[in-house]
Amino acid sequence: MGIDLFEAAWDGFVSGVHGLKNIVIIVMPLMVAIELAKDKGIMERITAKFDALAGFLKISQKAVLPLVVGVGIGFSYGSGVIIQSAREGELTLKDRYAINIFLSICHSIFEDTLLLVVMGASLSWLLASRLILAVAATLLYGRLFVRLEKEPHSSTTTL
Amino acid sequence: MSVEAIQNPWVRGLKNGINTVWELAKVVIPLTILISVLKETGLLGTLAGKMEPLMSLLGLPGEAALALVVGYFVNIYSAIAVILAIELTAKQVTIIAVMITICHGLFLEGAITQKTGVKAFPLALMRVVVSILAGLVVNWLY
Repeated sequence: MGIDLFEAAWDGFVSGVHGLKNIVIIVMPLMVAIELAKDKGIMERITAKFDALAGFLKISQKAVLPLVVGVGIGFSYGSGVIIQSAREGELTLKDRYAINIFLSICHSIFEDTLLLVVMGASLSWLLASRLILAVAATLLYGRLFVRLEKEPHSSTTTL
Repeated sequence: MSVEAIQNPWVRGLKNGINTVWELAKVVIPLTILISVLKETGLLGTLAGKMEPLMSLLGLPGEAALALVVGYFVNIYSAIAVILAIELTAKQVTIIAVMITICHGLFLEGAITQKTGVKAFPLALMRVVVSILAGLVVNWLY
């Protein structure tokens, strides 16, 4: 019995180390790539290409940068950008909710996705599901928000 | 911060990488050992049996409940430890992965959300709902 438990513990240790070994191979280059991207301001430059996103997601132009940063690099990094922009009075409450809804569902898309792909998950399913659901939830919020805003004024809201 | 800013991005990246792996190791190694021992004692099997009816709706074995719970409330790393410790098909790993990437670390990330001046609870609730719906859809369509 005691020996069995020791063996089980050892097996657990080995599978843990084995999993970590695969993760190291992915994480190290990724982290360097992210730092290089931050340094070169790549996120800011990419943001210009995503201008159309503001219209599509019904968010203001200023909300695109925290969104792109959060999706690419991570939630806390994106939040930092939100807090800074909000302090400068550039983001409305509606914008902040919209960004948070999107980022809650979809952030750190490179790191999170790759860590789980290493575990054997399907890359396309992971990427597609999170992006599609984040867009859908943000659009739904935009819809609901518009309806909530209009309701007191007009009774002719259509579904 | 200023010291970090001076450093070159390669050094910073490698440092972040080592940090991430270290944070992972601290969670993954103890958890894979613990789960392996729980499996041996039969405790995991008992828990899995209890969760089986619920988890089968998602196309998952009972043990996967553990991955979802620790993923939701702790972080992705601990869910990874459970994935490493239990037997899963590629489809099952994908279902757990989709659910966990959508919804994880609810306490920590809830705090991050709150800092931006929005309410954390409705967002957390939304994540749980979206995560479960996504799990059902992946199980159905994969």
